[in-house]
Amino acid sequence: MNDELLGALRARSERGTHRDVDTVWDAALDDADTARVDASQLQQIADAPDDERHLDGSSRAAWSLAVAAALLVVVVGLGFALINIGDGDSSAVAAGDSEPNQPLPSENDDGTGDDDPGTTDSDNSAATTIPPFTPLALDPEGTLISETTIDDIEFRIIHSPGAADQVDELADLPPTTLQCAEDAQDEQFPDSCLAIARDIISDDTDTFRFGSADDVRYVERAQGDVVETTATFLANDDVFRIVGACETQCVRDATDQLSRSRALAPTDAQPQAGEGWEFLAWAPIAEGDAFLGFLESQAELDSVVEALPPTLASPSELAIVAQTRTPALSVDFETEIVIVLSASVGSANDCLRPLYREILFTDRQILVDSFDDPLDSSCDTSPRPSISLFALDRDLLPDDDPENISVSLGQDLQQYLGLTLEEATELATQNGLTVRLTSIDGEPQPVTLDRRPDRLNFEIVDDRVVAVFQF
Amino acid sequence: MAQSIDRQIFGDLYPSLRRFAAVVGDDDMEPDDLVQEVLASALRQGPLAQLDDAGAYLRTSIIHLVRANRRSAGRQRSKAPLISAALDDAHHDADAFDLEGLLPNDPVDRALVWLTAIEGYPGAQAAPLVGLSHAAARKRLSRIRSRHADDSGDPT
Repeated sequence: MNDELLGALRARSERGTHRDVDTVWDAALDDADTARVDASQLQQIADAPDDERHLDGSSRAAWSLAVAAALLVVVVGLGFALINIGDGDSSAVAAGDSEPNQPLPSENDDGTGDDDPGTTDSDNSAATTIPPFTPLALDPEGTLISETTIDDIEFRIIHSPGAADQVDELADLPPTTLQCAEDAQDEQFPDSCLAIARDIISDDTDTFRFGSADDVRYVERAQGDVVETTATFLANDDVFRIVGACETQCVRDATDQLSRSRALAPTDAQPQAGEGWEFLAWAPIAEGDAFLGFLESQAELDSVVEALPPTLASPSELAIVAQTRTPALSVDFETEIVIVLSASVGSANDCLRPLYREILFTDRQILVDSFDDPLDSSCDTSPRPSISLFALDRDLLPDDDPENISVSLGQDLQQYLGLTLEEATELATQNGLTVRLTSIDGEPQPVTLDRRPDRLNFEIVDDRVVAVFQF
Repeated sequence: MAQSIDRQIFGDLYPSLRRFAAVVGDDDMEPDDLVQEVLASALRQGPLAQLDDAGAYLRTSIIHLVRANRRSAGRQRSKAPLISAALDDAHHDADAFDLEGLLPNDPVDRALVWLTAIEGYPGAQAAPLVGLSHAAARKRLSRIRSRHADDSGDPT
């Protein structure tokens, strides 16, 4: 490397106002503690005892204890409620392998969690069945109750920077409101579809909707910071998550009608922090339905972001909700990014896997597609979240021409990127996979939509593989 | 106890982290601020001692933070063109450490060069620190070299 360049780097490395290590350490410690106090006001850790797959349980427990001992926690109430108008399938869904069903608020429950949980009739499977639901609650003394188990699904709310500003407002908010989705206009999304609504931050009602006549599993929200714009929900860095399990039509309806504009959060079973992933918050947008078009969608996202209230950060500032603990494996979201979050959910014999694809490109993340997957017949009665990595190596692309942008799927597929078609084909053959071309120099090729997990789909530009996905 | 261990870990890492932050960060980003912020962020997640490689983790976090700050600044500039021009001018004025434009503008590029040429990281180890594959890192370094060679007239 050129000496001048290295000299410039060395000179640069000494720039700035030098503080000493103690000053930086103390300041960082203060920052961390302050943030922790803020976060603890809204953070609920609701891992079930067996839900430690991606976290070091003992370390985490020790850390949590240390935090708990060090902090005075200010109580914030979060109300969650769930209504299920179902046909009894919740019993099947509830037949999970972990926690026993939690009692539920009744349909008219205000969601504050004040009701006696024992009054819920969770055995009423013949008539309207309200699935088990335990609203996140805080005890009167201000100690966080770190449990939330809904059916056999455990989840937690992560992160709440900036939430402290809204603590007081949240605490004074009226309890959860249940209402039918306003846009339920046809039988596919019937009147019995319910939603959870709650006033947040402002006078506007921010509504989460998920469900249908068949079933509604649960809807959970973390505090504030969700904005409804027409049918679009934006999630800020205060993560909210919606995980649904319902019958086929329900999932399809939700997917088709609502979920395109909604973020689906993984449950804790999905790899998040600690497994080499940087799990970001998400900001769904419109219906960009093609990878090739997602660059154009950025403009739309920009406009949406601009419309966010000032209390909300822009998506890039949400980044790193749960920062990976293994940066060596982290994904460079500016060069090779795209995460597919999916969760196969179902009840009884019905199963669908709504997929939510999120593309993060440069500083933005875009929900480019979501679809259900009726082919997935191996449905469990509990959600089986999964996650896949799409890789996009921008270095291999001629430029940022959207026509040349596509993505590849799979955690082991990056090895194909950059190879010539012949090399890639040979490698695939060695790996026992078949191949086909879906795009040549930006020109889409006719392909069938049959699903072949042993088949790689290559997109090539100048005889080089720029994208590969398994389908 | 855990805190004292963390303190020691950080103390050992601090000088190199600070230099790294100074190199990677833009001129309007104070190196110590960057280090402090990523350290605080890491501590929020848990003790440093839990990390497999705290140095790598914090370095990567610094890069992420620099990028986030850049994006944030970019959005602000896009919203206010006039301010943008002023900021750009200020940016150039403050770029006193980029001797005649020698340094790459991209923080990842700077980090790559720093890690490999100054700190002596093998490419395979430096690449993941900046979120790149080894191949991509090699390519970037190659581009930097060739670009610099072009700029300086150095045939190497």
